[in-house]
Amino acid sequence: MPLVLRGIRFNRWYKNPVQDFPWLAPGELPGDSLADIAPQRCTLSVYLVEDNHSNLWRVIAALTANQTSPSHFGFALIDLQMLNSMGFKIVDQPGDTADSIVNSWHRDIVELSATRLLALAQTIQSHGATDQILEKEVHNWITRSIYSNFLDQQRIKITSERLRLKFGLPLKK
Amino acid sequence: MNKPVDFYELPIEVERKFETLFIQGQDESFEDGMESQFSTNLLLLMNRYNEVAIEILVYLIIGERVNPVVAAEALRWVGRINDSSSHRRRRWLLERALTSPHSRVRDGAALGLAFMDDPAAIPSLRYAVEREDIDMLRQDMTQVLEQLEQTRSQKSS
Repeated sequence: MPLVLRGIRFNRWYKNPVQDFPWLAPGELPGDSLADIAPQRCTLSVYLVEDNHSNLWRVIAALTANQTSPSHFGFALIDLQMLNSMGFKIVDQPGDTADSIVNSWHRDIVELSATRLLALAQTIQSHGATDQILEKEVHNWITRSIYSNFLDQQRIKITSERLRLKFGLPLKK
Repeated sequence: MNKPVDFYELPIEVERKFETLFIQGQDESFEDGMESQFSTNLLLLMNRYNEVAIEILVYLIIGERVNPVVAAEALRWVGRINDSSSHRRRRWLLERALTSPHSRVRDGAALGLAFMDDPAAIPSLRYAVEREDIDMLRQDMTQVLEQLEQTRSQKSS
């Protein structure tokens, strides 16, 4: 069963950051974490990643090529089966990246109430895996995706001139 | 050896510009990989005031006079600036920020050093890894340390 990936800011998910939030009870999440799973019309965008992470690099390359100035990338991985068993409703919905295959791995978690959202945050904290890929690796993966023709160059949203030159992309007018 | 900073000599009007920028930054929601109004204006100010700008950032960030979330965002961009003339001072600022009491500032500093990719920061990072209490942040700093060690071995081979 695959995993579900959601991009996050890694530093919002530290466990027991007592120096920063001395009032936080052990095991509690800082409220800031919820900003990473803020839904749009009660829907949250996620991508499917294989158990063995074999397509992780390609998903991250596509997601960061959607940014204006890609740098590091933080993410959480949660077991799809666990989400299903908890009653989260997950539907097929094409993604909006420059990689059409990655778009087919996109899913929406729908019908999210505030209560369900909190349950999702707690699931990420207690059962999810969180990680951060540094800029150097992210850039290697974008380069690999460009040279493999996985990314439609017209749809890459990078605006930084320095990075467009680095990736061999034409400069935007 | 860098000259010690005399904060009383910093031009007050420039310092106010930075302070205002950091205050305005508190109203922004920062996203990884995306420029923000804050980062755009920070880079403009740094470009304009160069050496003085770094001294002011030292004063504001290391002196804990600004919001840690905004400070962390600033440090990430400080690492990304492509300017060899300010490289050492910027690296020094990032190394100092690794000792901040705020985890997000330490994280911003580590990411800034990852962007710089300068093996000279290895001792500071190693020290920061040894002292880090938060597992996830220590893991993150270790990743940066490994990257810099790899860069060092590539440069020496």
